[in-house]
Amino acid sequence: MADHGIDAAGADAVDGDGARPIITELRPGVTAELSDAVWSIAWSPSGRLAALCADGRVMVDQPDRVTRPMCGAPVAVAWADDGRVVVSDRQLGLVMAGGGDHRCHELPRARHVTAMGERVVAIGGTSVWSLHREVGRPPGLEDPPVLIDARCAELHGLAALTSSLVVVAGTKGVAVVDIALGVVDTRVEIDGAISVASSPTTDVVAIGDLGGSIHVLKVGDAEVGRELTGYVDHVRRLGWGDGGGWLVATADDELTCWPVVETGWPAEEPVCCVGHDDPITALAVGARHDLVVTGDAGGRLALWSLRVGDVPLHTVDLDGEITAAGWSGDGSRFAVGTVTGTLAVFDAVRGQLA
Amino acid sequence: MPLLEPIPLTVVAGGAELSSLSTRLLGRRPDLALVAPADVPGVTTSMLPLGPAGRADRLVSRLVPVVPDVGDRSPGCPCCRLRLDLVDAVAVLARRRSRPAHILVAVPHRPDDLAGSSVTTVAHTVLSDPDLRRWVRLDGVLATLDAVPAITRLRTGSTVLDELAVERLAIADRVLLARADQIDAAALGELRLVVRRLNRIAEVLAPAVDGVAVGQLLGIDAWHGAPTVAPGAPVDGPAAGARVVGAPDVVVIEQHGVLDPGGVEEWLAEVLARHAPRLHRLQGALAVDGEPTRVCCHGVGSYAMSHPEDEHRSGRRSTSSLMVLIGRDLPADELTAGLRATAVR
Repeated sequence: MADHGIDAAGADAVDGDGARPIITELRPGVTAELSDAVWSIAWSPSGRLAALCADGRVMVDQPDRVTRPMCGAPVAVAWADDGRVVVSDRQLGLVMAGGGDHRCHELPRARHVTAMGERVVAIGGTSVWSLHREVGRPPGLEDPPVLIDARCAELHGLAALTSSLVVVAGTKGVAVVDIALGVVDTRVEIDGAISVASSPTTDVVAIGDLGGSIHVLKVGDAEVGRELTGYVDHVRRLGWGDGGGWLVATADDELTCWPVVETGWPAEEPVCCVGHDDPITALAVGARHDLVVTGDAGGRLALWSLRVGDVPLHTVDLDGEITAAGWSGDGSRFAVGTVTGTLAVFDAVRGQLA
Repeated sequence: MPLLEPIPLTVVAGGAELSSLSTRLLGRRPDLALVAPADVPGVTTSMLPLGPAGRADRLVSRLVPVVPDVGDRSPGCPCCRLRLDLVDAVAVLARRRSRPAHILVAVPHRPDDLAGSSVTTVAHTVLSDPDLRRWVRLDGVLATLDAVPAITRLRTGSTVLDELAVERLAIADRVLLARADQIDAAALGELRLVVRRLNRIAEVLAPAVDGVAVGQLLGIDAWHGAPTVAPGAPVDGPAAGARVVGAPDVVVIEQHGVLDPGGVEEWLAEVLARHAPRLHRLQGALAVDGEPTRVCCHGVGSYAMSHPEDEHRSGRRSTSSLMVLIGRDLPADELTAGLRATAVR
């Protein structure tokens, strides 16, 4: 195990001689061998790292800081705040741990979980779950969570729109849910919606479906939108990169990127990025910059710049299928996990050109 | 890094006898894992961890409970439906350091949930979902039929099989006649004929569950290679009037001499375009011009794929083609003429 520590190697880091590299560099950081496959990765706003293993353990910050198994069917991990993680579990619901808080919240068939400002939001079954955290209030005295039936059948995708609005994708449709008021704001029927991503800067969302289409819709006016077609397979992985300037999706072994044009919508013709020989199994899009990380079933990790185009800046071959990837909040680092339990953290040092 | 070998997956479908069959298989094979609705009786009580004792870090739960989640790839098209819950459940078992040697997927008979209980949808999902194609390969479909009520219904002129039972028997590779030892030989013979009219690929096993060896059910690689076709049941005779809901047509096409590859491709595309919503299963081995061995194909609903016969353990060179189509309202003469028209003259 190589431990280079997880410190603040920021986006503006430079080479030892003080010069910024020409091309964005990929510098290995921590690597660790965890007890089972890494299924989910989360970074806290302050740069703390959590990695969820298939056996229900969570590694926090360092390879030697691993919890006992917390659950039997884990799905995802998120930071509830800077001292607590929350794990979603298909059987248990949501498990909070850390900072003296160890609780389980019921949420049948819990799937994704994320932190949005002062809220923790999750989806499970047909419901959206939300817990409002008040700074300084003891965890046990928080207000009870809110549960909202999105009425889109089983939910598969969750994305934050604002501090109180989320968009969810379900087997029978997409809904915008106001978690502050506890109501469904808007619902649109889309069969087989399985992924969703919201632009960080505009009121536009992208929804991937089982039929191989991406529906791009304007929040609040579902009549306005467009459909990007052509994928043979389902669109399970979506994201908006570079401050909402690009829509990014994967299917099979291809990364596809649409620049957002003056009209505010993705261009008709995407850029097709070819660098994987095996199906892409993980995608992490830098919300604030143009860097994208993909991982595939053969263990290949690729770092792309949306500005450079169709070839990856760097590739690294790891020891098994890449099962999770995630950027830190400041976009300076990312972590990937594999099916064999390898967790690897990299610093992405921005180059002058890419 | 080579991709992980797909785990063989067997679909086990049936009524009340399903839980005893699943439990029995799990008891015989400690390296099996089961994906099943949590409320299937019996299967949740006998679960043990999978993996070497004492290695808590390598243990994998042997049961993954599911709630059917049916999604449409094309709105309203039954042949494109997917069981999305199975993708999640299999991921739990396959994306691990320590994986089961074989996965069972239990599909209970639930007439109040036709879409969630459809064996065709399960098989279609396993074959066509891009993630499942990487993690698992369909080894076989086992379907059970309780012989005692079935023969009572047959003898009293009641409906012997409902739509779900017909579907699972039509697509199956092994049909297990449960409690067959409790009916007489003539009755058993009649039930065999009922099954044979629905499916000429499946092996019919009786007495089932207790009397069948695990090796007859698992590791059969039935969705790979050429089909083995049993003689058809006589149109007249015993059990010919059995009432079944949605009985399929079984179309068996045999052709000697090589076929034109372009013609075969067009014919197959036409079959799927016109009949996919009613097609339970297709399987064949086609002697195609220019190919060193026969091309085997199999599919369910709107999905079909092919592979060279020499990938299969019993693969052999042959200039005879065989295609079996099982589905509702299939125009047998038209389908036969269409494939025969692709012969190279």
